[in-house]
Amino acid sequence: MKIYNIVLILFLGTLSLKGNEIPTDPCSKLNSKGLLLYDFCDTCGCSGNGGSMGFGTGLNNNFFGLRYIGQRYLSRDGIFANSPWIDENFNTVQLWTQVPIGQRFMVNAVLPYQFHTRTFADGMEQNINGLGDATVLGFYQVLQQNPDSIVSIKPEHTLQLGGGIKMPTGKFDSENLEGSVNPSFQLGTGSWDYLLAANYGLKHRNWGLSFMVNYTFKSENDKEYRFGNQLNYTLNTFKTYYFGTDFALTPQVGVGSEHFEKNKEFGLEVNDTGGYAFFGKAGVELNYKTLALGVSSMLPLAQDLNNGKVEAKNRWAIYVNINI
Amino acid sequence: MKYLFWMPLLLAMVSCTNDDGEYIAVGENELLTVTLPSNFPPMAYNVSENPPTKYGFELGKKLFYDGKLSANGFISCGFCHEQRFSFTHHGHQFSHGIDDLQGTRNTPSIANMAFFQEFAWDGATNHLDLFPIIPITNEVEMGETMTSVLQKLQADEAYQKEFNAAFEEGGVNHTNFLKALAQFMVMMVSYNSKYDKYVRNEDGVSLTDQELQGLSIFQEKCANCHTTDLFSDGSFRNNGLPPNPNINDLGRAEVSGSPSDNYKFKVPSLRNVALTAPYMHDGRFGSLESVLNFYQNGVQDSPTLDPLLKNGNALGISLNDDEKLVLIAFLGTLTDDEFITDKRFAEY
Amino acid sequence: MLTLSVFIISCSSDDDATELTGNGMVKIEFDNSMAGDDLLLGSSYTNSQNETLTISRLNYIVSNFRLTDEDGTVFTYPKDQGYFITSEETGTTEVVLMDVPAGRYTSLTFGIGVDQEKYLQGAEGQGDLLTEAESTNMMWSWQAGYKFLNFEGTFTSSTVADATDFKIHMGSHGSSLDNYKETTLSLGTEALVSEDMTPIIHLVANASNILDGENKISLTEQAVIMVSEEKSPKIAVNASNMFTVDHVHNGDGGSH
Repeated sequence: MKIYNIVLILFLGTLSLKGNEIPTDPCSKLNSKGLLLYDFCDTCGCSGNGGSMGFGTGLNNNFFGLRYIGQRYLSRDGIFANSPWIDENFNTVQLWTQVPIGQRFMVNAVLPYQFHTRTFADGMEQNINGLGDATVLGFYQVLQQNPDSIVSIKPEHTLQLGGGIKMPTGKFDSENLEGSVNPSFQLGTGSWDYLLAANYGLKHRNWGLSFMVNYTFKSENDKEYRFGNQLNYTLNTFKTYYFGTDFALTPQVGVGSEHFEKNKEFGLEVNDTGGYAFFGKAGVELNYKTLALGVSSMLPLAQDLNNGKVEAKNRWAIYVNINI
Repeated sequence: MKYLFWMPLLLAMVSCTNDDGEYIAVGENELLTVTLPSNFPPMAYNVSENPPTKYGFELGKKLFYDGKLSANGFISCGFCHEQRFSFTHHGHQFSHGIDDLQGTRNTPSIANMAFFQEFAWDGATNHLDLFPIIPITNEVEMGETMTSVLQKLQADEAYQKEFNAAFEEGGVNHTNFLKALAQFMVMMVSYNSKYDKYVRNEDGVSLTDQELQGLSIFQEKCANCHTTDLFSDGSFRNNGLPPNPNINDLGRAEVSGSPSDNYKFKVPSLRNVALTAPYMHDGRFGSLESVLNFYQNGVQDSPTLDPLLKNGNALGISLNDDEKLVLIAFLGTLTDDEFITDKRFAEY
Repeated sequence: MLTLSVFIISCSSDDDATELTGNGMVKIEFDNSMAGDDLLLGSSYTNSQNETLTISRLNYIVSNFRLTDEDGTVFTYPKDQGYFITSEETGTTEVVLMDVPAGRYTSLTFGIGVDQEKYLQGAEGQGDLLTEAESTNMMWSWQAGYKFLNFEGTFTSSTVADATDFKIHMGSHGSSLDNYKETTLSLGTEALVSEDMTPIIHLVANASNILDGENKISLTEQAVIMVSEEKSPKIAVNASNMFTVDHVHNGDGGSH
């Protein structure tokens, strides 16, 4: 029951959270909501896969839908203690889906479209829009969970192992590396990246717990820029409330952490890159028959990104899905 | 076939004429030999970096006597450095530059500069090439800037030709400007006084008894500072002159910033001293008699007084009247008539 | 399992060292700061001696650049072209070295001011430096020489209430005092030079160190320091230690 207290405090504390900006690394994992099965954070402008929002809704549904994610960052435009901060806003709209393949396999896919803006200290605005990096993941269900059981007596475990690939469908423009310390203001990483992931879930009656960890291996793009490898893990808890047979409400609350290695250019470490961010998150999903509407937000609790030169602010997301 | 022979000749003739069709003869530039008198110490100036040439020297002389180097177009180097007085400013304690502004130091002689390593009374610069910058940019002397002087010269066609003749590359620029002036000064060697000829056994010259006595006293009592046949060791010393309270010229200390250099000035060469009155860095003595009187009983003690002028409680140099007379006679033998009338260094 | 094999393949290919050939340029940015803050002319800064400075001028001469590569080979920039004057008020704070042989450079050495050898080269050796110095207030005309550092502005302190001018001019004193100093900085990472690659070495020059470095110089005690046998060498040492490398940006050198 102690857990409930902690969870409650976290939930209350994160009620006013808003979306965060892209972290130094294009692949930051933000687990804002519904990351029951796996958090895959790529909300950073580059890959725009969902950051900690993840690939799934958290209720282990198969679905397809549309999701919007907004993130806000502050980046220091200059190397000095009194250099100005610039505001960066990363926006992603994604087509996302989760479909089963046979009994034990599952595929997640995300196709993002990005539109990011930032305003420099002299008032000059920069906008980039375009397709982001598409991602496809495959999972193998090691421990099977009964998908339809809502009322069950015993706690049920699930374990999934899988991996995936992120394709360089989004443009990486080395020009964007100039003028600011935040190298993540991009539409894509320009590289093929490879992921390994594992999810563990625990369900009992109508509440659940999930723990997810994944690691992304990033490769060098053709501009000889390589974003640092990334490790994410999330802990999430949720409870579903049923109203009749058609409606359900699932609030969620959790914490997530992202760790980035330093980026490399021409094989040499780029200074002021890498770091970590630790978030608290909360959200809620409303279900009506096969429709789902979700809203979530994340707020950083502790961070040290790019030697303090980039600050993640708030992140938030909203999605509309059709469950299949 | 015939044309093949005449064409190149015609072309050669055409190429030798300038745009106006006037035929200009530009002879070959020649290296000049810098005199190295046998009774002098080795030359300090690095002649290989800036070897004096015929056109370089001529250009340097022209610049030396050109008022363009000053703000009012009138004050040239030669204005204060008059040849007949061994390039000092005759009769002037201090010189007046532009706008009649007066300086605080007496114009020193320009002779044998190639044999010295520090220039100006306080050794402000240790390269002869760079020295002209000091009087040119001094507000009370020529009051100009290097850039502006060069602009004036660049606008002058005659100077353009002369610079190009004297120097292979660069035309009218700072480097060549300074090198030309340096070449002029390097060539100014004063080494044919009566004393020199006596010392080198030339022309059967001999000194009178008085002069010989003076030489012997000089070597005993003066030559520790006024050493060698340059008559200066180039060092900075405080010779006991009571500072002029209106000026309080710290001398070498103005350059080094060290209080241990207070009131020290460069030992001047005594060559042509009979012509270079008034004497001392501030021109306070009008005659050599006054100078010797000073050394005898006018020397003032101070923390930086040169040790050679202090013997226990006795200050200065002990000289009686006879000794002073013969010394002055000797100093007269240092006058080099050839130098002060040498047409090569003359303005006209 | 497919992903696993893919992962193995991607991990086995290491970054090939970028091949570097030819000659290229190196840009060195001298970013002036005051103790961690950007140095802005007209802004005020208080130092550890509780003196508040408002700076109106910061110019200095940097020279004799040498780059050392990963093997220890030293490339010395030609002396004749190797003297540069940086000036905050004109915005000239970048030094561009041309025709640097391709290589991976790990450290940078340079001097502050003009060495005695250059003075003794006479007119031939000064080249354009004299003219440049005259137009940037870096000529010490009274000694036909150079100010290595020209640091001016106004200051106040606990005992000096009205803004009072300060002028720090530091240079060699003829032949009697040589204030030329050098500093060697490790770049922290490699600067890649080739015919296509121009690294930008971003240095921070902490001007606060001039008066407040290992030697403390009090303006309240003396606000105009030009030819001081005691203080000039201390300021020269302070100035030589005011540089650090903030980062190296490898690329085509286009912008930063």
